[in-house]
Amino acid sequence: MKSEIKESFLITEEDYVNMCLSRQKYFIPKENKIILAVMGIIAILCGTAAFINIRGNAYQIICWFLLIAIGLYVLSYYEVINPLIVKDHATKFFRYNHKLINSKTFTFNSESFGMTDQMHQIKIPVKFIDKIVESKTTLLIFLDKEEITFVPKRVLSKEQINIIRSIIAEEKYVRLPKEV
Amino acid sequence: MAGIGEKPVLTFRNKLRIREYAEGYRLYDLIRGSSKGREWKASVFFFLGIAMLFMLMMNNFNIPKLPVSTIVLLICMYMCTHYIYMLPKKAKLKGERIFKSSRLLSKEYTFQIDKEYFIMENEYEKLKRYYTEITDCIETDELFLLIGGIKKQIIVISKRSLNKEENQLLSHHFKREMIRQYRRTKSKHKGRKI
Repeated sequence: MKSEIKESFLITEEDYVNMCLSRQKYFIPKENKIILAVMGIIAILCGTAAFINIRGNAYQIICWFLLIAIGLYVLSYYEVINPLIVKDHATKFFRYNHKLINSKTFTFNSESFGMTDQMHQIKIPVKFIDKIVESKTTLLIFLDKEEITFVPKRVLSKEQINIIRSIIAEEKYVRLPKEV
Repeated sequence: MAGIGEKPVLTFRNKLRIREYAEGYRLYDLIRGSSKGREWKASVFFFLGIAMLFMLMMNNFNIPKLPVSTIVLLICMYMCTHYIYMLPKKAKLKGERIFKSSRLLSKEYTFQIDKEYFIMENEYEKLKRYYTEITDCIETDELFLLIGGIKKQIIVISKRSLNKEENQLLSHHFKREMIRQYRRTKSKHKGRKI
């Protein structure tokens, strides 16, 4: 098994959007999702129950429908609405800054990790990496709690991803659920 | 890296301390982060709270009669404290956490300041940034904060490692090259060493 990885690639708009979506997914705590889902379900149930049992005048009916609509919005926020917002922001950012997102060279072995482009060159020991997060489309490499560099998974083979997994300590490697 | 026959404007070494980075991060959060616009958000809650207080006063503070107003007043008080006091403190703590989690931020960097860009470099990393990529250049009594770019959005330069002339030269240079982005703000900790 070859343990040295060296790949050059261009970042496309799709890669950048996928990275932003993966990052967002990683940063949203699970508890937030559960709380919002529960609140949404409660609002929908209350609105539906009130509509069936109380109904009332036109003004009240509008209120019950509003309650159901708010419930639906809250319930779908993290799964539908938030990804759409992130996608929109990422697309705009990429189109505005596309000149800055140049071709990159990614190197990785048991000793060091490197990422090189025209403006930024970095080569650090593997132990300096704070975390690696793997989503369906992207490998996010955290240099600290906030600074991220990324590699689209399309440029890496399964074997290469396995090499990265085997080099990085288990507690530093996070795999996100596949629905990204 | 400077053009042919061109000398860099200034070259110096800079090593950050945790509190300097945290202060830089706090400023970044105020300008571009989650604390952005906190004053007007806090003032909305403040005036809503005043309105609720007024309603309670009109009813001789009969809380059982106006439970909703009381709850809204309490929420407004909490939100005002959150925006004015807690948010900047949180940002500073986040800055400290980031600094602690990074093995690179605490390393010494060599800065080469040129006419159109600057280069920061150490044994692990080299970054070239054009002034056109910078969205905000903030100068305080203790540091220069450069915000912008895709990688390393926050760059903090400590004034501690520069002498008076170098500080002035750098300040004039940033002011001249980044007219629209440059701002000087007063330090929050006047007279206190970072």
